[in-house]
Amino acid sequence: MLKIIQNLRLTPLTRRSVVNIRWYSDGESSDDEKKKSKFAKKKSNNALKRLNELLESMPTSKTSEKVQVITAKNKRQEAKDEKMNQKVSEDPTDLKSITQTIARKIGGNVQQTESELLSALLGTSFEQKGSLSEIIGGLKIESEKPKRQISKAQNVRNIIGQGRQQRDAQRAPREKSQKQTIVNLFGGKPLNIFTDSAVVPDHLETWSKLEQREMKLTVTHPPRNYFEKMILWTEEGKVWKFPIDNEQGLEVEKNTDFTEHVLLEMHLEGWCPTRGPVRHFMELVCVGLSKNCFLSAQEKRDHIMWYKEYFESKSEVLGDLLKLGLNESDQPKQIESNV
Amino acid sequence: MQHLRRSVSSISYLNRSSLSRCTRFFATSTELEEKVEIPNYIQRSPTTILRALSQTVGFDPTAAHYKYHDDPYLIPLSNVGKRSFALAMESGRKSAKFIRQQHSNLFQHREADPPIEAFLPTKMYTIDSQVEISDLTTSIEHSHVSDAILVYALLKKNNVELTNDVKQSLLELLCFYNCEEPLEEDMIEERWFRQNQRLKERNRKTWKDNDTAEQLYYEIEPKTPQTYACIIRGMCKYYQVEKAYAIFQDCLANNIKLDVDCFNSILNVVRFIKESADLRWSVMLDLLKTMKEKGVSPNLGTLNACLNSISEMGSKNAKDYAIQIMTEFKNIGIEPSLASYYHILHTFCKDRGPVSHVLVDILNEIEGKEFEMRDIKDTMFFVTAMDVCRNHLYDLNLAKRVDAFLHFGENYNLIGDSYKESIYYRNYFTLLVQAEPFDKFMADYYHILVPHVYIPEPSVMEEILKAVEVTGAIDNIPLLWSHMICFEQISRDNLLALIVRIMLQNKPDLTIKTQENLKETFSHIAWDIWSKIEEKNELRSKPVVWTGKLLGDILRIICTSEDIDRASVIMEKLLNDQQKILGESDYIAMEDYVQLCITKKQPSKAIQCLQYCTEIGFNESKNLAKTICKGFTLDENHTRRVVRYAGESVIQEIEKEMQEESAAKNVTQ
Repeated sequence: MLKIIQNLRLTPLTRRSVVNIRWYSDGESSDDEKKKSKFAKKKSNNALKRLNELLESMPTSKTSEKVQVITAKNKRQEAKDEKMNQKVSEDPTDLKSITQTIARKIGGNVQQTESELLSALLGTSFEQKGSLSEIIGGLKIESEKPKRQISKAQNVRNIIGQGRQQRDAQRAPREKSQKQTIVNLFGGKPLNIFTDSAVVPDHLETWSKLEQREMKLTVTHPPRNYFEKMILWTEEGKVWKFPIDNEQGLEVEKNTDFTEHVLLEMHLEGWCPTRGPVRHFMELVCVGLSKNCFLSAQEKRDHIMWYKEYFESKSEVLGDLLKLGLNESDQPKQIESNV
Repeated sequence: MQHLRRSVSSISYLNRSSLSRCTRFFATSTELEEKVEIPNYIQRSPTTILRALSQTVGFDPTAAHYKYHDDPYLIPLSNVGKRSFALAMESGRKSAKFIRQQHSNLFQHREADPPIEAFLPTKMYTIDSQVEISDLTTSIEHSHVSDAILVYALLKKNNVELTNDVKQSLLELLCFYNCEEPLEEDMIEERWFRQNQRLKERNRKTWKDNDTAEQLYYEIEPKTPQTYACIIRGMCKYYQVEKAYAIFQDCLANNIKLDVDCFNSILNVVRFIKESADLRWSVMLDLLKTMKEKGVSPNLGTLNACLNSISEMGSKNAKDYAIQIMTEFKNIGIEPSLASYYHILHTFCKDRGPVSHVLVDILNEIEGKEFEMRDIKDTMFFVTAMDVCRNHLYDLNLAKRVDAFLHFGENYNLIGDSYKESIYYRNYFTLLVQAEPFDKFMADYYHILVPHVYIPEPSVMEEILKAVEVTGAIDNIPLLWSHMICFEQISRDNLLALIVRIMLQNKPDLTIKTQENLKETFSHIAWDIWSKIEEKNELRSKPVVWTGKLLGDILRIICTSEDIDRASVIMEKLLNDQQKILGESDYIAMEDYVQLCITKKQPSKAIQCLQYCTEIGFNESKNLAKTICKGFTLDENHTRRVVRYAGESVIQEIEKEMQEESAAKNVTQ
């Protein structure tokens, strides 16, 4: 049967797959084999027919006869092929015998454990706990596909070292034996263009500011605790900064003396009557203002000046009222004194 | 010193002993040293004390991230949850800001004195608003690009003369952001979770041709070196290389002094200027020589730009070039930043190239150093290094070294954003689970990092489950399953199939203490898978499609714990929804189920199973019928149904067998 299949395809690549077939069909019952050989025979007949047809259709004139040129053997290619062949023919049998021995050692249903082991190793999804031949029957068809040229041994190795299985399979084979070479990062031949470096500040001010900002934001991650949040808020100017000072940000107040806040009666001089209800009222205003911590000194002064203007605009009415008041004011005083 | 002693002794209320101690102290100190050195006052920044305090807060792997712990009930346990919770919080902040901005007239009261500028609404500009130059400068200062463009247009309309300085800084702003509004400064979460789009558009021209920036460039007269430098930098940053290179060469020809960053930007885009690797290298050398000629001294940016261009040059000699550049810059005293090492990794560890162990040498160089951000690409280092560890070298020890380096000092700041962080951990975890002993992996890494630092993605979870399958550490299955629910991974077919397969193939060993209750737990998990998916399918528009195999496997697991009620629910699903279920389940599941029916004495349920088998068309359904007939004493009704599903022949065969058996018995007797 092997010969027939070998007749079918003659490239070294298919030889590999043929070997695989041989391996899998080793332990099989004759049933499957017969079917297979029948199928193969049929196929080979077809192929022969086709070949003959092709031969006939070839031009037969003498001029087109190919001259046989003797060339040197491509030794490298041959050696490679041979090596591959050996490797492939060795490894799978090893795998099989190993699984067999393991299965025997475990005991019980030897065939089933063997098939389970195989399916686990090959990483294919043979969930059915059928006999070994079932699994192998399934594999045989796959092994004939010339699509992916990975040997089974390679496959097993991939699964054992799961890390780079798929990538490796697709990738051109790497020189794995390559030793770890030390790269001296600063051991090259310098270009000898520059002799020194100097730090020159960027002359595009806005640009460099934006660049700094961008870099700072890249390393600003969501805060990991409350303090980091406080740091963030401090930098954004949302909270008072340390050290705490309750006049923070009130720059104007830094330059004003407390006397300007407290001693306000001097602002009454010049316009306010020295006695009487207006004076009385304004003194009360001054006391109130001197105790107010929410207004700036300038605001307090403005406040007083507002009253000044107010009283001045009402001076006529006030004058009349005051005259009346002076007359009447004696009476309540009397009453008071009476009381 | 004398007057100090005097002052001490003058304090009458000090008791004698302490006084004598004091004097003795002064006496000895005068003997030893004469001078008392008072340390200089150290200027502390407002945040120094906060930083010191923050360092006292350790890392607690069992706690959720600070941003989530406000409401313990709502601590997110999935990647999607983490993202949406954090962004929701930020979105709230954003909408508050929006309201404040839109209805600023409603918020007249002064909360704070002096007012906090960060909370104040910004000035809004429309086409009709009256603007001044100061509006433009503040917009530039706060990098409000669109406002700046609008104000500039208004000023131009009103024929307001602008100084060249203002125009220059506006040009810089526009060039830096390519006339696009940047993300606001305090949107930290958004920045953290945003997938870096600039990475995706790495090789694409995004510069806006003939937009305000370019117009402004043409308007500025006379042009200063700064103007040229600015437009070249901007165009290079957004890959409008042709124009940039033309302007650059004009400047060189006209002897206009260009600065180092301008050269850097051109060096960065060398691969767009020339086609082949050799030409690119020669252009780079020419540029460097021109820098020397013009007396421009290089900086870190020059180093990184060169390395970046080399890494994408595609030359065979790229590695030599990179080393040469590194040596050159080392010689003139420029320390490489992490971005330089990233470019080196990029150069040496190509996907299809040979294996390079340059990462080892890099780590030897930088290990134990604390790095800070010096180049915008510094954040690429860690994610690339871990990728190299996993995919290129497959080296666990190296990965651990990289991780240690990441956690050294403040280096973790350079991890980048959430996307890079998750890729970093994805690679690290996959490598760990493949290379570490499984128990060690669980104890040292999984339990510590999951779920608060990292949540494994489905692909990583698959690796973990595979590791469980290989090592048979099935006592971890309950934990992993509950995590899968938390991480919202239960609608992944491959994960479900895998976990079910593991439960099916690994029978719990009752002699091991940790596995005592596992049989029950497995059954619960199987039932959980069933009910969770059913529940989900009712709600979701895109339901998970059941496969017959999965259902059969679930049925088998439930059968092991002899729970007939649950098993029959699944059997009914199999029977009734045959059209919706993909494929058929294993025959073994049917056998298990019938055996369970026999032990629980439920003939009608067993016959239901037989019905399913015949409808599916199992070859073995006759055997099943036989098992049923033998297992129960069937009444007439049941027998009729068995006959209907399995055919007359079965009954006859059974009778024959019985007769033979009894005959054999008789013979022996």
